[in-house]
Amino acid sequence: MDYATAWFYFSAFLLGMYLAFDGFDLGIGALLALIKNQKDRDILINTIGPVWDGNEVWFITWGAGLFAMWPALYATLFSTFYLAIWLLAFLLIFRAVGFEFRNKNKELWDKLFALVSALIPLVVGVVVGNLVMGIPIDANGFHGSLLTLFRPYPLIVGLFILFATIWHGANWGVYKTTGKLQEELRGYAFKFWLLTVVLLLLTVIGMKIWAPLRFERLMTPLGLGLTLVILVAGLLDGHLIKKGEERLAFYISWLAFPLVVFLVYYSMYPYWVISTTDPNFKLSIHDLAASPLTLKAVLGVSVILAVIIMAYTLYVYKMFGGKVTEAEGYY
Amino acid sequence: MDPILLSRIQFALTAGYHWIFVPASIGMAFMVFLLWTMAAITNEKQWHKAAKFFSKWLGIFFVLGVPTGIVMEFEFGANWSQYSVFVGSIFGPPLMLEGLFAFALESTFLGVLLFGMDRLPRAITWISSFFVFIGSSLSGLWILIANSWQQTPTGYIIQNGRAELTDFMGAVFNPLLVSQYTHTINSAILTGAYIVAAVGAYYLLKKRHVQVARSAVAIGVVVLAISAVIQLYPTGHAEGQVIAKYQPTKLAADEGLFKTEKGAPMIIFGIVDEKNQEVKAAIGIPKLLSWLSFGDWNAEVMGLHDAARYVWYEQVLNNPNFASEKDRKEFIETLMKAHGVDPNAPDANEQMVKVLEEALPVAFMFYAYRVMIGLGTLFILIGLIGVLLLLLGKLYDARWFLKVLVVTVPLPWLASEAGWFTHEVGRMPWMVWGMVTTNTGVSPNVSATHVLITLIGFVVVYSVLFYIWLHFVRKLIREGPEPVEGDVTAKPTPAVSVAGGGQ
Repeated sequence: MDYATAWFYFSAFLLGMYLAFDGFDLGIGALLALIKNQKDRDILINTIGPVWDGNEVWFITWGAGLFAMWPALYATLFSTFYLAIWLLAFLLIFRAVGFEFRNKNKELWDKLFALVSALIPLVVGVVVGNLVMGIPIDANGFHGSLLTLFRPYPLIVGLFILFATIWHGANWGVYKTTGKLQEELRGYAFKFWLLTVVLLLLTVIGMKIWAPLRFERLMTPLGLGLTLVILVAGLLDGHLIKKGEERLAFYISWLAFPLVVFLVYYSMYPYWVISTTDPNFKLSIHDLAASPLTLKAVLGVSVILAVIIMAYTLYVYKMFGGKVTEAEGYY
Repeated sequence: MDPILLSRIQFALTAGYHWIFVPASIGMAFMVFLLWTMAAITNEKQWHKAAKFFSKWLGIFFVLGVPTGIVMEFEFGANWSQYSVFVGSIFGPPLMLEGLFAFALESTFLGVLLFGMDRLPRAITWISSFFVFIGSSLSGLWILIANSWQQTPTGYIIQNGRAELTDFMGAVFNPLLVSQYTHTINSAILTGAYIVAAVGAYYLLKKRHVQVARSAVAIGVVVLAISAVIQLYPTGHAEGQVIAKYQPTKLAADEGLFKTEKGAPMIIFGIVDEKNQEVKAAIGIPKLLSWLSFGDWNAEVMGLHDAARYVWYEQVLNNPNFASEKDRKEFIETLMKAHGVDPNAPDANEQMVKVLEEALPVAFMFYAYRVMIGLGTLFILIGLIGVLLLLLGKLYDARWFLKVLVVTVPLPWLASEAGWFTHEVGRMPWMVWGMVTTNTGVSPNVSATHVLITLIGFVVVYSVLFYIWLHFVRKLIREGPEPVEGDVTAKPTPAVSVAGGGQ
């Protein structure tokens, strides 16, 4: 495997970790809109209080990884989708602040917080959807507008990621709470699991229609096998939620994200960007890659560090393990 | 409207705002670690309460530091895409390693510290505070590796229309790194110490939480005195010498030196007249600048014009890091064209010297630099008086001094911002010294309207954030630390929670 390929899949790993870790706290955030009882909402916030900050690290690292290893891709994406990118930045700011400062006016902040928490996975999904589908670009640059980003297919992918995070968040909630709140969350876990499965199917079918090149890659033995694994695991989860196997249900939704991201990356390999207007215009991960020494110098240490982070993160989760029943904060 | 200017304003605004919270969080992380250590050593209640109280302060600095930092990462790609393409493969890795090495450690264990200090064993709290401090200072290290590389780049070659890495460690340990890092981290520690001392002083003046407040003031002034001295020597001095050697235009502008001089004086104060290229009514110490910069009382210090010439001819045209003559030629032509200079004009090089010379707002830098130095001197004075009063056993009753501490608490921020301004404005027009200017780094496909929209967005959002943030600082001060048993001055206030869903 060459270094650009190794980085490509390491980047998949980082995005997968972001969605697996931050996914459930984004999901919890979005669920605040559906949970009526104030004390229950406080409990939910407390289930993610100690860990959400650390979860965001994966996003920053993923972004910095794109910047470092494919500077031309990073620059093109960010300057082309200028306003959408800043929308995402403002959402991230509000989320961080809303988290800590929601006690100023809980009713209002919780609504804002839920909205922002839902929009983040939606926008991330839309960006990924655009990478999968391709964009109207050629040697002369990008031919589209902000609305180009929000075409039907990217929106489907965006909704898929959104529902998946809420399903994941509800699974986490069921795992961390007891009593009536737990029952309520179990209901949401099931509903959003159903929506996720439907959207997953739509995402795959949509790929055949809107991104035939990517779909072809998907139909190779590895792509097909992985798709089936994800579908079966996903289907199993609904059953586990119903049966009350909350721990296993959460582990499955956790694992689903890295698998899905890997599959998406696999379907795109080796092209970061394909043009929707000029079939001959494609930018591969090798075309856009940083200088060889950069790829080489940072890979080993990054992989080792990612493992170390995983280790202490799991330790911290263990430290704060168990059910959360009290609504208490640190201030 | 000019998209370059708007993007510059936006970058200055967002970086300057981020810079309010960075030194405060790094410094507070150090102080919190120190306080938890004191709590562990002495096993006394007031240290423990102080440690808990200031951990919450760390929390509210960190909360704004993180998202405003993410903004910076976005900005490189969004507003400065050509810059990102040119240096991304060198500038990007430190940012990535910052996330993996440092930010992960810091944010994970800050969660443990804040949520665990009531329910987890003390040893875990102490080690968490250590990890938070290590994480935040490593975070600063990687960011400053990236920043100092832009000021004094090494370990690269220019080919394929971009800078490519040739020596990772060479790029990391660029000439400016060590002095800039120690100077910056030390300034952060100074800021943290100042806040702790000032908050303690406030409670002493109000006669509330007296035991905790005494601990805070005592440790605050000691750390303040030490860090204030270190800020001047060796760190500040060392950074100045590197700048004199590698960034002569920055030195000339900082010092208001328009004409090359042998045995140049250090001007304490004067009025800069940019039009006539002189500093009026200057009060200075003869030959000091030459000595400080080069360790020789009679050394020649380049004035702005000569410095600009030196940068253009020696550092740009004769830069040894071009892969081939073709790369050199292409690079120079692109640079000239971006600044409206015809590469074939007979005086093209002199026109570029002029561009470099005129990019620097000398008066602005001259005054900002003096604000930094002046405040640095004041901090040494305040710190030493504090330590003297402590040794004489009069610190807690010297109300005038406590008042001084409270009133002057914004000054460390002012000094940091002034230092940052001289440092960053001083490299104009270079984004990366000798390689990328603001004209060649800006995103070509982003319109002025779009930048204006986001710029207005930032002004609004950041103003709201600042208001909310101040609100919580006030609330934290009002609530104070938890009462120490037997301390009658610590009137228990109802525990109104600030965040996190307390009841």
